[in-house]
Amino acid sequence: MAEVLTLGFTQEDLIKGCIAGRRDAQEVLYRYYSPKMFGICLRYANNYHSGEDILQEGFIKVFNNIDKFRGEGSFEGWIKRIFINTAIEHYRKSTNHSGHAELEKANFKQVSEVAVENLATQDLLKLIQKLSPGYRTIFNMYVIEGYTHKEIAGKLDISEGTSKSQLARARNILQKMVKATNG
Amino acid sequence: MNGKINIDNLFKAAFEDFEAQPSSEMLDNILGDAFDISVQSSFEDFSLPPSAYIWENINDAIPTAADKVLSTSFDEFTAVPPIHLWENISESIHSEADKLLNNSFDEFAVTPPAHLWENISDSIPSEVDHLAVSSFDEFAVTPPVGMWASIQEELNVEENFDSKFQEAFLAFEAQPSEHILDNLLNTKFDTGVRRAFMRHEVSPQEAVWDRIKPYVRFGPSIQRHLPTLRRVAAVVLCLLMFTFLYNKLDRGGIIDIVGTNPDKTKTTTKKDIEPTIPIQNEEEQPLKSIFEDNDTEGIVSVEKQPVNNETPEKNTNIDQRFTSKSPLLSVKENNRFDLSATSSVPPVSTVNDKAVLLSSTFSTTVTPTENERTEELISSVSNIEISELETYIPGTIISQTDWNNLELPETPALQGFREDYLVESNLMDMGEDSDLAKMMLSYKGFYLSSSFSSFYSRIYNDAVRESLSEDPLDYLVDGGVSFGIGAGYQLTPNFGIEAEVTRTNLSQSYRELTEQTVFNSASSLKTTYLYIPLSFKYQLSRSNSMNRRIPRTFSTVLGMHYGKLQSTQTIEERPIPEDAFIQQELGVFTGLDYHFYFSPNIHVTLGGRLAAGTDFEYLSAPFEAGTPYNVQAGVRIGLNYRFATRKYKWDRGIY
Repeated sequence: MAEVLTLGFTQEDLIKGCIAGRRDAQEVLYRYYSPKMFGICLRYANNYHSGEDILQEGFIKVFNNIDKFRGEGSFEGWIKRIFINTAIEHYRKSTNHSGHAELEKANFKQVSEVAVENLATQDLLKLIQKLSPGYRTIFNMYVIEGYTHKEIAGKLDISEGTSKSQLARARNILQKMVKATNG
Repeated sequence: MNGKINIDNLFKAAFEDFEAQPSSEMLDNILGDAFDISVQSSFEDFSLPPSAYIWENINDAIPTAADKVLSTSFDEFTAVPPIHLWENISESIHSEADKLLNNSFDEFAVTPPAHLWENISDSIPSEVDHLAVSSFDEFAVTPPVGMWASIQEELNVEENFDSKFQEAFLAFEAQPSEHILDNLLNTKFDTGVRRAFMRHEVSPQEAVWDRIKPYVRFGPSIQRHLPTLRRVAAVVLCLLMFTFLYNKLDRGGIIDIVGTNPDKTKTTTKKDIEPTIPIQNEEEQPLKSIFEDNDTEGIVSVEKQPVNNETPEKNTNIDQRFTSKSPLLSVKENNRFDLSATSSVPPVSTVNDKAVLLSSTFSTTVTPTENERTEELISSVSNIEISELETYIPGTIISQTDWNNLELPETPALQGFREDYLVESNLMDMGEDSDLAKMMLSYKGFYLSSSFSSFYSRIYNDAVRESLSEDPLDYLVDGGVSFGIGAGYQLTPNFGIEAEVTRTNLSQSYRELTEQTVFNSASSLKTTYLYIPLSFKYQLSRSNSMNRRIPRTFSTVLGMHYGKLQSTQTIEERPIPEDAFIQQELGVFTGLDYHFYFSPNIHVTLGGRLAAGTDFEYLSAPFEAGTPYNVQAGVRIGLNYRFATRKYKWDRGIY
């Protein structure tokens, strides 16, 4: 039996409703998935409003392409990929890769997961948002979404080596900020 | 029995005197024999008939005569065994060939390749090896003198060598390389971050949904193409607006002068006239009316009278010579225009060489009681055929008058006249070019056409898309071209039909929307169709540029087309079966054409077309999901030749 998401709608109902252009189905789908997706958007954005822009753009894409979802795999995963791609597009539009050069290689002691756990997610989010767009995107894709360097290189049109080095720098900077926040 | 008894007696007699003590054993034997004999004798005559079944059993075991016949009948019996039996047997028996084959290998020998022996020989110890090995049999080297002493010394000092090693590593510490530590710590850091965001959710503000809603009004199939539809609609709307405004402005100029625009000339009505009508000067000479004689050739003298401030100051009279079969205007000798007390006709004046029918003058020359009669007379003007009017108005005179700026009073009676006048005026004010305009607007007959089109094309076809990729695809902008020839027939000056045969190339590019290839993969395919469009054209009844040497006009086009797939060109590594495309197409199209008339025979057409069609198979439900469509939107240029003969032109005054 299909999982009932909310208001008696199953996932299948929602998809069919959205394909038919039904506003109630669209709204239910939005209400159900928007908190999760907004979390993703905020991680890729440098501030709250940019996150909202990505969210808006992503949902418009979801609704306008929902008939292309073939039911293979998780629907949430499909939506999530659209949002990540939208965030990447947003990053590509808003900046170029020269921004990476602004950060020098950090040289400091590592911080462990304990230090990270001491931070609230919101604080950590703020720290991630402070990263430059390129670092932030690569860090999110590798660390949180679990993309490989090869996949990241393909999506961002950069080399694998660049992806690795950018990730290392992003991680170093973030660790430094975490350490500073923890005192 | 008696015998036995005699023997006994004999024995008795013989041994009557005999006395011997027999052994006890003998006596036992004797007694025993006697017992046996007595038993034997007791069964001597014994007989017992055997049971009947014993004979039956014996009888069964004895061969009967039939058995004997049967056994002899098989003495000469032989049977040929089946062939395969021999084949089976022969296979298992070595044939002569087998034997020959076996023998032929008796002497068979193959010399192994040289390197085989080299390999083998390498692994076999050679003489040298043996020599070398044996040479070390007795080899011995005396260690240096101090070595043993030092070992002995060590052994003497440290009794337990192992414990020495253990102690040596007891306090051993080695710093791992930096990157190992980094990796470990980074992994932990990554894990911490990942864990922190595992269930991270943030509710967006309500305004975001409000911003999304306008973009998702329709289903995805419509919504995706909405920008394209909007662009097409905008272009069509602009064209329509342009046409409408162009038409309206052109007419509006005249209408305003006539008096519909209160800013320029106040509309004169009966009610408005009354307070301002001056009494006609009775002393003036009566007007000579042209209505008295229909064939009168007279001079219309038009005089402007300053009634209101808007009347032009310049007082210039013009003479207009004309003959009229109908009562139209009256002429006054003192160059005053009037209706000779019985008629009311708009007077005409010229301002800056422009003819003006002065409503004010008109108003002043009629009395309220005459006004009704005036309207009756004017209404008769509207019944005059323009062709008749044209007949009696020499073109040379008309061409000197700026008819576009001719002012007419706004009266119901003149309304019909004005409408006809507006159409015909387009011809009349042309001078030399009016000939071509006449031709253009009055042609009826055949024409030939050729065309070239360039357009934006879309192939909406799920079967093609699915054959191309298992991943979702998005459409990209792609185009096509078309060449065609055709023939048409102008049924009326406005309405015509046209049929064409066109060879059309439709292309479609796609972009993969999957996770991996959202940005960088594009695929395209091309098809060729043979189309036969049948169009119905409605041409506007007036030219958009009558005062130019190249008249132009609009026509709207509506039609339907039949198309047949000729060929397809797909991506090499992703072949698509040809039957996935629309094989036989039926569609509709619409458009606008703008014609440039360079001569009575030749005109060029620039136009736009929007066409869509689907396969015959889907005609029963053309709007269901999954129905394939071929869509084209683009521009076309055409060259047309009309069969306007010399006689045709002559008849219409075109030389």
